[in-house]
Amino acid sequence: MSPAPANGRQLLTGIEAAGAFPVEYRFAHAQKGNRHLVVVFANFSAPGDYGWSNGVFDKLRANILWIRDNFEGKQSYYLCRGMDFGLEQSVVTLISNVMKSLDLTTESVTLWGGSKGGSAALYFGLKYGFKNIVAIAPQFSIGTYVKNVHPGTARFMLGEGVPEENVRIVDSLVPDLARSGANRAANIYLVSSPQDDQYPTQVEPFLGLFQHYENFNFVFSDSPHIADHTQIAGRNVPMLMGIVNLLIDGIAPRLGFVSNGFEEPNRDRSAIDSYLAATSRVRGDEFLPPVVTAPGPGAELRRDAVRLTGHAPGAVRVVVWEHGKYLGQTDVDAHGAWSWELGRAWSKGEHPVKVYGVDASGFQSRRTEVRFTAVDSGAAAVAQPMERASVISTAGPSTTAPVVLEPVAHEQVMDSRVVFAGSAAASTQVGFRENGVLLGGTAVAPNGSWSWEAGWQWAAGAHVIDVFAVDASGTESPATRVPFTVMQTSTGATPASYYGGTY
Amino acid sequence: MSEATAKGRKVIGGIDASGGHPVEYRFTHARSGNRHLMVVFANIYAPDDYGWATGVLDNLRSNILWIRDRFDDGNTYYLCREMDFTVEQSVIGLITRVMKSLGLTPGDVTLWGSSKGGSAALYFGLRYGFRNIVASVPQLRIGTFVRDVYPDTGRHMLGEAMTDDDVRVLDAVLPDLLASGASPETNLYLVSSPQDEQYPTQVEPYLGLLQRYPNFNLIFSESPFITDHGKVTQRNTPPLLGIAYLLVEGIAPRLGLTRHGYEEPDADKSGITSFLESTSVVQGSFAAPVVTAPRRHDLLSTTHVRLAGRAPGAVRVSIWEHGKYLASAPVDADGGWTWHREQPWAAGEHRVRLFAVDASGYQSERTEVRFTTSEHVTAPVPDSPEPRRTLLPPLVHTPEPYQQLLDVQVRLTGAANGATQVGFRENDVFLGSCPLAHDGRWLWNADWRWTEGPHTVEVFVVNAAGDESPPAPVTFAVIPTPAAPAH
Repeated sequence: MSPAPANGRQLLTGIEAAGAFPVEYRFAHAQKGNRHLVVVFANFSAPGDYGWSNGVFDKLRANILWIRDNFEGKQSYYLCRGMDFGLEQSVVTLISNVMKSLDLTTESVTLWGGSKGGSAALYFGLKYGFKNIVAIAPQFSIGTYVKNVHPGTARFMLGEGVPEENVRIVDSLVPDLARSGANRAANIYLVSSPQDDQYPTQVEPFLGLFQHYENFNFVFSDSPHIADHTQIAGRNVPMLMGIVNLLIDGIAPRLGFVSNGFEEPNRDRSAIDSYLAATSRVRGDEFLPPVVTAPGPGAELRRDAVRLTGHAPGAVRVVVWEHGKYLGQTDVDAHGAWSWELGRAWSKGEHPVKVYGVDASGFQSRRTEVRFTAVDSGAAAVAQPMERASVISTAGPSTTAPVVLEPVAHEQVMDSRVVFAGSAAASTQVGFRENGVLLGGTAVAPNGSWSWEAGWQWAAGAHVIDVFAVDASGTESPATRVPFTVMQTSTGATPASYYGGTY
Repeated sequence: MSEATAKGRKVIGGIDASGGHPVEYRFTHARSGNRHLMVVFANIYAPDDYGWATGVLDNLRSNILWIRDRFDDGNTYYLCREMDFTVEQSVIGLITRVMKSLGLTPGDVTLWGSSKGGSAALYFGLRYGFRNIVASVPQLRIGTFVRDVYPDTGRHMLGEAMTDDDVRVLDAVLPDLLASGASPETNLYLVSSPQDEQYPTQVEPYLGLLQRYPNFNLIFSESPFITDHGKVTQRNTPPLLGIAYLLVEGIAPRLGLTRHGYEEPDADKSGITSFLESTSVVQGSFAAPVVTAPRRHDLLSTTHVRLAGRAPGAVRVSIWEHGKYLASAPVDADGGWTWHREQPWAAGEHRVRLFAVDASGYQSERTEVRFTTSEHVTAPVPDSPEPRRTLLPPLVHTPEPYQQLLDVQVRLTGAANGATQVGFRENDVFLGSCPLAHDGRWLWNADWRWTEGPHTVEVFVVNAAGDESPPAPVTFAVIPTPAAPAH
């Protein structure tokens, strides 16, 4: 019955029955030759009465001994049953037997626990001289605490009727050790919180007892994530793991009296968010995606004769991906033109290929998608890319909105194939958007004229297209808005409205 | 381009191009409202020139800014390109803008890196006054180091010629900062090792300058796992993360000058192993409980399954099926136990595992009983008031235990009471049976020749009611009959 944690570290379970009380334990061997032992005591609500056994120590390289606080079905602070401290003796027998079996001394042992387990770590650590003690929100006045809060535990520990003198004896166990300066050389780490309602009675009055200790550290955790006693450990797991990772390596950090916490979980993030957006690797409209001039959308191409060409002003290279996988990249020439081949035959079928530009700083444009279908040799003619000039004008003072000659604003276009034409002096490219969606783009001829056909059939109805120009530096012009309406054509296609949405 | 780390923490990529050189970065937001910024510089050979970006910092609750050391396709120590220090200016520009966007001050920032990244953490931390610097195995004489060890980086930083003057300038960058006592409030954490071949030239000469810092901490790692420079950080990842977890909480631990390591991977484990065995919950010397009912492979009614047996020395018997706890049956003073389940069993085959538990909680080895339940089996008549007589196992007279017999001589004899038939099994295989004589004696000869070797035969009796007794085992050895002597 040895459950293995996620990372495969084996837990061995056993019972030390050499003392008056059988003491149950779990043990995990050290990893990577570490020579330290961490002894873990349980808090009240620990599953199976083993503390910190939910895997949080899986990566800790030390030997780990978890001791169960369950004696005759009851919890005991590892101290006594009916004031019989043979129980404590049985527990320390287990610890020292494990320590000796590992050939370690008290110098290489850390006692660890939260709440009830923290009290036990303090008690055993101070009394028996173990080097390191980590106690999270312990109770110092154990007798009063169990009498008031855990009456069942109180009856078991202090005897039926919970006699007052027994309460006082158990109350004084830990404070008397500290007062007498027991194990003054220990490295002690105490964690508490102003949000712990036990702090004023169970911790604060006792802090002064440690003033002569050589390395006493107190972390006061003032955190919005701590609402009560039970949340102190959870909030501080990373910091506590920090301490224990140093301790098991033989390094005892000195923290002094420090506060932590002060998180601001609801803090306004707009400044950093806008900085991140402004420096985002993928640019917005200020860096236009590459225009793919060939193949046209939906083209059928021979598998071994696919060449992607286009323009990517402002980019130094374009990068080609398909299905989230990198296919290749190519440099963009001084005129903003690029051309790329895969270097091997494409698989048969449709290929949705994504292309983006990268500028000299490493910024990326948004993605342009081109879909084509690769077919076997001879099955289709190589689609001819539209003849386009790749020379760009570098003259002209600034980018102005392109002039759109066709279609005329509010024109009723009878053909579902709409041809756009116009002029855009001093620009290298014009682009087309509908409702903010980029439809495509085309290069501007040296004389400043351009024309563009979408390559698809426009849906019947009203369209509003924004046409914009981009100059050699990638600056986008204001848009020219062209509203037009595509009329129902009689080319044989069934009107879309016929279906009416009944299926 | 944002990618999620293993823990689902979103990493956002970006480029700050407002300085002379575009600086690429990755960023992840703080968790749980933490108010600290960790800036991570890359070591040489870091994948994609981002350091500590493999998920090792996932649990760190602070904001994390990883800065890429790739400028004009080369490493620069985040300092210079052909002695042009606008790289440094661009990098500090990025750090400052991220810090300010988070509403943080240099008092809330830790600079972090190993080797080349450690040098950068030291340089930027001291020069610009950040609160914490964690540098694992840094180079403090950068110029000589890149010229001699990484000449490509050297040419990239110093220029094609790598002139002695420029090498000296770069060598002096860090020592000059230390000598001037820049940023005296900074908490400095340095990791090095005597097994780092760079230690005598790159760290040791500067320890005196470093020790003038009021909170200078050195972890000097003497570990058998460290064979060279590259292994120091790997060995020290847990203590380094320990420091980080404290720093991002605003706690600056004082470690002083510590030596550690001294692992003993080959330490003798026999002591702890024998302790663990002797105190193991499952004790081999503690006999498993004996199950007397149901018998193996019994077919029972789903509602009437009574488990019974003996477990001397135990206080209870723990009963499990398919890894699930069913019940715990108390063991009475003479070692007997019995358990009947309240709710009906599922129809079908059952494999129930049992172990005994003693007063200290030690457990015996496991035993198993198999039986099958069916809804079509009618329940036996409830226990009649008349006490049922237990059928005792037969007495075996011959062979005697461990007797050696010639294969032609094997004959089993014995006596039994209250039975009608005697049966014989070996390894659960039924061998045969014989009737009882009137006086209770029985005799059985197998009608085959026994194979050579040891045999353990279980002998049991059956009475007229069909009850079967527990078996009486007998073990003997068979030797072949010698061949007849030659004429």
